[in-house]
Amino acid sequence: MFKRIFHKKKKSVLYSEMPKNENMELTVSNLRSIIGKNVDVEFKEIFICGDKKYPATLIFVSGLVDVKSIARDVIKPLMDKSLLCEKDSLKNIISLIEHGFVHLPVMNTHNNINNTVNDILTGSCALVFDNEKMAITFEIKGFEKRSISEPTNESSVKGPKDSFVESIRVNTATIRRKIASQNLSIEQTKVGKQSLTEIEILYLNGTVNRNIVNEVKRRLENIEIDGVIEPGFVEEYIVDKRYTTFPLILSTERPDKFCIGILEGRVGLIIDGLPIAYIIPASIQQFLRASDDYSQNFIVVSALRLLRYISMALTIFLPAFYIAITTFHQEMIPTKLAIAIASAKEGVPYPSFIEIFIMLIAFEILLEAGLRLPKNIGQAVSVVGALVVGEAAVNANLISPTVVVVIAITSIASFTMPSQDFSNALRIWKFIMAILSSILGIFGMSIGAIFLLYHLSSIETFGVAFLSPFVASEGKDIWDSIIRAPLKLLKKRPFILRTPNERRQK
Amino acid sequence: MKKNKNILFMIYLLLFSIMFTACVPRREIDRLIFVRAVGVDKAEDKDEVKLTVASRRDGASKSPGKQQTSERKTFLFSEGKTVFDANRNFLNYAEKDIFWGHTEYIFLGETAARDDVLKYLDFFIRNHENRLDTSIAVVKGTTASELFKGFGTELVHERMSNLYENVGGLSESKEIQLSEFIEKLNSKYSCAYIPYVYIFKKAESMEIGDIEKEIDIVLDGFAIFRGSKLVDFLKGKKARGLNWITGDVKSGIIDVIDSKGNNIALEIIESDVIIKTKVIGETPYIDVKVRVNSNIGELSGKLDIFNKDSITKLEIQQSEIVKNEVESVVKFAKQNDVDILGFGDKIFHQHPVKWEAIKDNWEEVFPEVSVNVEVESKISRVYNIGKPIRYWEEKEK
Repeated sequence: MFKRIFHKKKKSVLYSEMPKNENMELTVSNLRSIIGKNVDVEFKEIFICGDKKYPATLIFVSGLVDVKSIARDVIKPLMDKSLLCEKDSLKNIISLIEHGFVHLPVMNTHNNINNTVNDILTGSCALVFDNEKMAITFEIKGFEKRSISEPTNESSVKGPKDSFVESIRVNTATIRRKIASQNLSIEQTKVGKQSLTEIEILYLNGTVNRNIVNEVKRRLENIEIDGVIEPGFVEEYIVDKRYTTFPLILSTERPDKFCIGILEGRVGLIIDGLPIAYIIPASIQQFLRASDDYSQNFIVVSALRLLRYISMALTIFLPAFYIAITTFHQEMIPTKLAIAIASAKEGVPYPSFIEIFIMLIAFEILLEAGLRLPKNIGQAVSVVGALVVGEAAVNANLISPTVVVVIAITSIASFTMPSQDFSNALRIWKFIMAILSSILGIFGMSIGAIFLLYHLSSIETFGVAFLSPFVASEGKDIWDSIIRAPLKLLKKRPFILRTPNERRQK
Repeated sequence: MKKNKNILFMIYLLLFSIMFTACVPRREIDRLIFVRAVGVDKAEDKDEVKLTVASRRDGASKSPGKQQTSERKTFLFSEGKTVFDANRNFLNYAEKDIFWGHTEYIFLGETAARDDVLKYLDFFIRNHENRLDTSIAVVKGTTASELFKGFGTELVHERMSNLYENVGGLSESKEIQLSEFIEKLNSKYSCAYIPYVYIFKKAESMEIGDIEKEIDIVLDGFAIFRGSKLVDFLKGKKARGLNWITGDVKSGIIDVIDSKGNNIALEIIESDVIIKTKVIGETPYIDVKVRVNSNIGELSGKLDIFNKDSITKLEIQQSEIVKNEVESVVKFAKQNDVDILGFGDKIFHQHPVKWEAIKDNWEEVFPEVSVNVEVESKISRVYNIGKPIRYWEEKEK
């Protein structure tokens, strides 16, 4: 039944209608009828060389373009007495303009009214010749943009301190500066019927697996939505499995992390207007890999990575384990600790499961409140959280101190995850495990663990197993997963990507 | 569709496993009494079992500001026809459920041990909460409940764990776990032994600053069982003799004298034992070869003994002493006809075919079996070998 409904929708509903001006002639009056009502669109009629025989109209969106540059590089050369005035026909004048008379390098000649309008609306200035039914657009973007700043969410000690910004050109330039190779390809597609957002696909030609690139392109083309404003508008449409908490493509705000991915033979995705970029495909080990991992001693990094894997396990299992041993398996606790826990719990009216749940939820509330509050009163949350949850709850006999310790360890362990998306995924599983272990103890926890493992191994992202390199890579990439071998020994690109150019160093 | 089926299957599995898992004891940790040590006695006047249970919890008063810890000790007594019965009878009045999972020590009263030890132990072997690595001991001369009652603030299990930690320094006793004990009890030919403790009325001068306690536990030997009944106790150096044969001597002091009659203390640093058996006809012969390695720990005289001759003399003395200890325990075993030394099992392991002929009357053979004890003694000079102070005053000749 559901299937039929969905099918019907797909066929009958046109969710986003294309503008119906395909057949219009490219004239100023037609352009006026399409975009003339907007206050920020400027129409300026000029006579080339001051000659009334050669009228033209300049159209641009104020705010999107650099007005000073229009005056200097477009109007001035057209008005000055020069070689242009010696030409006798408009055709010749146009061809002269096309070949450098206007001092702007990026220009397009259009006969189609749609393309012209699109160019105008994305920051170009159009010179429309009514008589010839054609327009020349000059790219002359001049809007305000944020300058490159330090990454706010993924900090590093030793690595570069630049981050992506909202402007796509700045981002591609940042990447070009890191990878100067002629093999670096940047391809563009537009997604979003109304927003017409530029999305650029970056990859290293000759290194990347073409199948992945084609798959990314195919999926991007299949996105049919109104606009790409937030990252999810792309991410959710191109991932393989929707019903999972785990992120299947890696988002980063660090160009260095992005470039490492590109050099490994992965595909990068930059979206205009978003200060993050995506690396496709991502497997679980990349979410546990910080960008600092390649700027520190390999032994230290190996230890830190092990620590991260341990804290991942702690995040998921520690509350569940605590519930299990205090309600089902008291014999597992060392005697002195068991007595200490029991006497600390004396007077607390709730069973351990409720205690843990109260604390877990309280912590989630604090976290969410801290995110939403304005920065200058955000500190209040931590004060209230530390005092109320930490001290007062214990003194009021609501929570036993051991539970506070357990929750504190759990939440701090969850902060060690380099990827926020991944950390959020673990937060959900933490609750599932706690519920299962409250029903069946360690047995329930193991059922949960098996279910988690089943779930993780059933995920595939762009043809790559999510659990790789621990599965499906024939043990080949293990040297850059839980531990990191010296870079000199990492001679090959990830096996799982099946790159045509396997070796990255001799 | 197939995928959906799989998911459905998973959900069924989870649901069933949750719904049909019966009998999951779900108990909150603060609703339990953690038994740390249990005393098992024969009840006075009647043929019943008396259980004594010790537990302690530190009730932390949660007043804001300072944390005061008030110590609450718990003694519970219960009687019943069987141990399990007595265990359930606790519930008549106990404030919380008894949890056996943390039991570390089982004490058997002497009367109970002389009666029949199996009667009292089966519950601890069979009950799923109890563990087989529980340590077991006999209380000599009194009942286990007396031992429990006698202790003031210091509880039994803490004192016992300290004693067992230090037991290697004297090697006159040994911690024996329930699993080992039942294995020995189950053996057809060898006899079981477990450590014993007794209550010691403390003289005032023994421990300064701890007058509160008037009694103390002493651990210095083994209780010997024939079958499942206690027969005798092995004490002091004789008990060390038993440890020589089983190879459990960790350390200890052997006192010898030099040529002038001054005492010299030798510290055992290493010991080893090899037992070889041979069977000629139907007569078994047993060779016990003990290897001792010791240090010179103390000289009470001024004589310089750090030369080959005197060391050799000391080694001979040491061998004599060790040999005496070993022989005394062999004599004891033969007299009481208790094969605590495990000779029967040794012969069976080394000569399984010939053992068939003697196994049936091993009890008669054992007292007559010839045991040859040999001691290989060595004093290794790895310690401080500086000459004694004022050594020039005394010369050996």
